Amino acid sequence: MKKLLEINNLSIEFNSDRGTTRAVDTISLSLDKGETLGIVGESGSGKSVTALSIMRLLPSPPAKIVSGEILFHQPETLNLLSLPEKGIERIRGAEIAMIFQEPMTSLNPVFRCGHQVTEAIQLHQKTSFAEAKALTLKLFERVKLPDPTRIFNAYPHQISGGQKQRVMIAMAMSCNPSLLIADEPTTALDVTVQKTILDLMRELKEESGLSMLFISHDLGVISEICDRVVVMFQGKIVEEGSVEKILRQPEHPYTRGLVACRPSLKRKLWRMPTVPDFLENAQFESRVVTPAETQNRQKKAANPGAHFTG
Amino acid sequence: MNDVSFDIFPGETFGLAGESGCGKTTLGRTIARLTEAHAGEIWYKGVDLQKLSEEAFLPYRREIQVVFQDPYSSLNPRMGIGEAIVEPMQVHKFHENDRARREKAIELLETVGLQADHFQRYPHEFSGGQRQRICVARALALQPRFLICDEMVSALDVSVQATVLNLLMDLQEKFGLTYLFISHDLSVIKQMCDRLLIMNQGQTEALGYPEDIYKNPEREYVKRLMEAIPGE
Repeated sequence: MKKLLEINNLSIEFNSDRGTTRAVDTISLSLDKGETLGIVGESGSGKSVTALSIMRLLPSPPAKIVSGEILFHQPETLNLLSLPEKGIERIRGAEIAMIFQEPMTSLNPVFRCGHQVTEAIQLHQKTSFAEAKALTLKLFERVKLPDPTRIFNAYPHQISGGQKQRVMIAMAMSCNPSLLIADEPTTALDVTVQKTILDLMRELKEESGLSMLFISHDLGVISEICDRVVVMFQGKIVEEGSVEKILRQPEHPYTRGLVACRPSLKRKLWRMPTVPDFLENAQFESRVVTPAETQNRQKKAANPGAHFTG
Repeated sequence: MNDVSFDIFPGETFGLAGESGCGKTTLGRTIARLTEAHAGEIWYKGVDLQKLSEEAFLPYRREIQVVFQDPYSSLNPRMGIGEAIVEPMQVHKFHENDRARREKAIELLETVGLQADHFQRYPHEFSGGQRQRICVARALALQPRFLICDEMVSALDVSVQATVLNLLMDLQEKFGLTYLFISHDLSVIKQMCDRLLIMNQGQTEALGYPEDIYKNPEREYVKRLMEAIPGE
């Protein structure tokens, strides 16, 4: 497989009055062409900072890239970190596109949805408005938005959260990027809407041979769409492997915690396992509530006198 | 919402599930009388809440508390979190004076896993999970019997979600609380709830024990909600 993106020994620090914080600590990762790589970790683990640094969207100051390189092979190798502003502008949005967690805040509330996409198209391609509009309507169809003309003319507040994320995906796909960075794209959505968005992203990837960097705090979501995953904890990559391996045989206590803290349709636990539980004791296990115990509790609840003192 | 009927037993956790727009939030708000119902009755401990005057409802407004989804918009950014917990106690004239109320607020902060020295801080200094803990402390300030948790953990990281779920289970044990737990996520409902109601476009899709409903999901809608859980 040919590599598309390589991050080597990247470290990023933030300076503030209170001192210097290292948000990303000598991480290295690579992404093959056509591959979907997941980055999983909690808020503050450095995963979004990593994504933003690829797009060169980190405000500096306070952010400072202390070391490392980000190589993008398309087709000649560029170090994104050392490109001049003009150079990165040609890549950003065109070669590498990004979608964010909050479709509500990523779209400008005072412009119609369609115009925000045509603007992105006209920024990178020499087309007339009519051509850009035709392309946008086609993209809206491709991301399965119902009634593309209506959505084109709608303001963001007039469409649902899932539809907004589809508009964002259409915008991201508008210049046929070779890499799509998705930063928690489904986190603010209902599980059912999340599923339709993940299905769509999987389809787009298969159709266009797109590579994807998919960031989430939820290993469940990662497992639905990614081939490989890196686990970030306190700015470092602590584990890396196939989705299968990370889910079934997580090695690092932190990864074990992330796998275990997700509730399941199949069982009820006496106590939800948490990440700190595993950091303290890597073999931590939480006891499953037995059917007999469940029935006992149900009986107690159905018999108010026994329980209720109010 | 149309013709929905169910009971909640004291001390139990009753789940309310469905997609956005299915009417679950409206239902929760109607019980707390934040929204008016067009028809039907809501009986709480033998009293029809809908029929009460605003004044007669006041004690129930204390007993029934709501915690909302968005920990960012449910706290006043200009008010210290300690004062935010003291305020409802002032309104409902709980405890003798403000000093006693402050002591109580500190105790509540500790109950939900925060610290006494957080009292003076402002919401922006806390993470999403910590803010939900603050909202819980504020709800507990009025010694409620019944807590409506409306998508309370949906905006949180899964790892933070686990800690808040544990807190809710601990508090139920400690105070004998009854929960109406609203969520679109059937795996979270499974962990938390004794019984559940699944709603679709304001109508009942399923009502019963999670183990029964999940084992044999008769309705397409229930299946769809189950299949949407990632990683299962």
